[in-house]
Amino acid sequence: MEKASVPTGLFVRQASGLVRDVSMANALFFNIAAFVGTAIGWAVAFYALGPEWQGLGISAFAWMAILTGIFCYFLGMIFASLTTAMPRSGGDYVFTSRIISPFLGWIESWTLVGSALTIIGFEIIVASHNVQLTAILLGVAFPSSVFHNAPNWLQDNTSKAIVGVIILAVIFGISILRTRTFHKVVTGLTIFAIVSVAISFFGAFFITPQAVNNALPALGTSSAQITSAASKAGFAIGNPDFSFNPGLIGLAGLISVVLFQFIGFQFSSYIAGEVKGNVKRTVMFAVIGALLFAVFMNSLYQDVLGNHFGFQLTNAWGFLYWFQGAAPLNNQPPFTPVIATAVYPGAWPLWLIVAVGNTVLNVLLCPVYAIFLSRIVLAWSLDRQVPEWFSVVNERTNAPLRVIVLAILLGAVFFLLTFFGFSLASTTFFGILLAGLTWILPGLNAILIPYRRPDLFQLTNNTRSFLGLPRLVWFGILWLIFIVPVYAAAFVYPVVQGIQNQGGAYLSLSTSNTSGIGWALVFIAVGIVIYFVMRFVNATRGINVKMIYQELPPD
Amino acid sequence: MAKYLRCYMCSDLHAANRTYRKLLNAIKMNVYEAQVVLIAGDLTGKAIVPIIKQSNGRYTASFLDQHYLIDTEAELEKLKNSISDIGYYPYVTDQEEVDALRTDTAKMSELFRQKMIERVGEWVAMAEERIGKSGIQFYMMPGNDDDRGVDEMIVRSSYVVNPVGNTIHLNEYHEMISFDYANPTPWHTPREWSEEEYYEHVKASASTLKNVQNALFMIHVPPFDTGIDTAPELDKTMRPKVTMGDVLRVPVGSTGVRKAIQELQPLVTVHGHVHEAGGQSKLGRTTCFNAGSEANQGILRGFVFDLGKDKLERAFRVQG
Repeated sequence: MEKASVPTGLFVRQASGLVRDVSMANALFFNIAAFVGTAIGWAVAFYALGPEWQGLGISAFAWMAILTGIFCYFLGMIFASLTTAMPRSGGDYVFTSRIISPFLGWIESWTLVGSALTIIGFEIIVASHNVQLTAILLGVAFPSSVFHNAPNWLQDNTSKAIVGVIILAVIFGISILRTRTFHKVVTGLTIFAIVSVAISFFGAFFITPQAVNNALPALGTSSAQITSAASKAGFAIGNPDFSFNPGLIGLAGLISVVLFQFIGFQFSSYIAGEVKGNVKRTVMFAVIGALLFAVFMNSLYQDVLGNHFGFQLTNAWGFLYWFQGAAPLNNQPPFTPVIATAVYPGAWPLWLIVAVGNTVLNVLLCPVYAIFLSRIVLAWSLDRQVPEWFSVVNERTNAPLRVIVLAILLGAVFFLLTFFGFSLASTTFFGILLAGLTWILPGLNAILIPYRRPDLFQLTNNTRSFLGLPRLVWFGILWLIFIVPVYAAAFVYPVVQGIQNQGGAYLSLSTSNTSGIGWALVFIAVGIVIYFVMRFVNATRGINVKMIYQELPPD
Repeated sequence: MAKYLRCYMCSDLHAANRTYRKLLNAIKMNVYEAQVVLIAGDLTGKAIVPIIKQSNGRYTASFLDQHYLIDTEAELEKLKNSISDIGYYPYVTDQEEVDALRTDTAKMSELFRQKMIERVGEWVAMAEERIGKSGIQFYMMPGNDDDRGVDEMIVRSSYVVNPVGNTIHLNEYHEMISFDYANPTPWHTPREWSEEEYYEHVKASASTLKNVQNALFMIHVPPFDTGIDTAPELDKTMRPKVTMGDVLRVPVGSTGVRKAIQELQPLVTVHGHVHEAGGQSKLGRTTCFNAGSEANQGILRGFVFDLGKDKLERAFRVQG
């Protein structure tokens, strides 16, 4: 007989769901680790991606982060409620396939997986960039060291590829840990990243715009140089503009950047089948906790840094970085740990922690994404939407290892594609376009569940009515009121304009076309083909997939 | 003969009428196209809800944290059905008897016993009426929570079979042996064996099989540490152990069952007992299923699997 110790504890039985191993703290830090991460050091760089003004001393970006946070609360409540009713791993796929239709659930999650894979590829590139920025910080602290030349690193494909492969190896190493160890590592590293946030936030109070102006020559530039170069290129800080175009369209675009920063706050819902204890409480705590952290990082944190490092200066620097390719330090973003080190060279260890925390949170996204993607694929596999091969749970890791490895490899493919002309902008726009259904369908699920699946609705924690409608329905309506116009303005509108202006070229699969729309359509078409091929395969194997979703009337 | 034998298994229905009716409808409507239906134990419920007749002719009851005042017979029937649907037993009584039951544990136990037997009797009759002529093999096994009196109700049936204690020939290739016991539990339930006893019982029964490697074992308790036996750990006061707001979980399956399966290597084993640990697992060449249970929430969870001549052709999880 195989050695197996008899448990000393006793047991009770309860009808709550599946086997669970993820604690409340694990779920919270899993969500935080899923954030894009760069906001720790790059926070002020994001100002320049949308309308640049301050109202009541608060930046447009921070206003949009607060507004997005308010509406994301409803999205978070939808995820928490649906998870309570369906405590299974797989998130949106499980919800939509059970509430609306298996096909829509498949397409929604298929496009989400595509989107997430591009983000993994994106993060590998950004992580390389953050490694370079950390080296630049050391070069500022130690001007005579080898790091002094760091701004000129990573200029050729070979060095980029080497750093990318090292980062991939780290990601791979974390991803293949046993599930329990994985969550411990993610929790530990996320706590480290949060400590770096605290250092950065409180450290910013010791920085002034004047001190930054005085320190910039150490970085080979000056405040006047930056603002002058940006002004010549058309940069100007404006006043609030609430006209439809460009004001509101610009704000919708800014919200899409905020949403990009917020992605992940609800990801513990995708591993709900492994959340232990009180699922409702755990998921809600993890989702709302991560959302509060996201709102803080993109509003108060960012504005404290922006005001202390100089709102106009950081905007101008960001403008040169994003739109001109002519930012200081051989076109680096306004990375606050580097600037702060220039201000206080003696405090470099503290700012090094911030820079490393920034990179850690950035890298951590990849294994977290690999895990959450693997749970979606596992749910597909259990429903026979993809071959069973994908759902084999590795005995050592207690996780579907094959999918995890595949997710990292496919993410690496998107990274490699950048060596063949794919731009970051194309990759991210492609990714966000693909994620459209996963932003919108949760709202529809919340609205429809009381009527299409009353049995499941009764299990949610938002069944009480308000103004004649269940609270969950209101959450769905409020979320759609927010996300549909934002998505239409930020993505549909530019796509329509692009097609009108460029015609077929806008849909081209050429690497010179940065819209990403052509590839997004190809990806969706592949998903549709897979769905129907698997239906055929299941039918020939004698598996009637309809049985999996079959409603059974009791009478 | 078909190329495979399709089986459907579920478990731990715990007197939930609504879920049981779903099961019968699934069979009647041939939803899962099963030729063999297996219920892997625990048929009875765990609570009685007294509906107290008042002197004014009305009834009162407390059910799921709600207080009910019942005026009509129709309302009374509706409440009784609601109580039965989630697996409790409604009991129409008066305040005097309620007070007596609270102090007389023997009387309470006897009432429970009656209710359990009565419900299983109703289920057997319902199966005979609704699917008795379907030709589908219907095996209803009690579990460790079930009073021994329920066995008698199944044995009496002209259609439903209690497979415990017999070697069942499912078809010309596959035989089945069944075990309704659990390993020791903190509650000292009616059917418990020590781990050694369990191992010996399974070994002894398996010796009656013509081809154990092609057999199906229906064993209420899952094998130890297989992922389909994980449940909350309890402290000495029988409360779940909690650390930082989270319940600790441990494997609670049977080491004796695990040892027997590893040695005998049957084709398939089906289990129940641990509601929250539904899933499938491999022990060597043996595929082990635990459908899990959310019967008291009205959800019927099960596995459909096809037994080929000498292999498991396919298996998939279903719920309705």
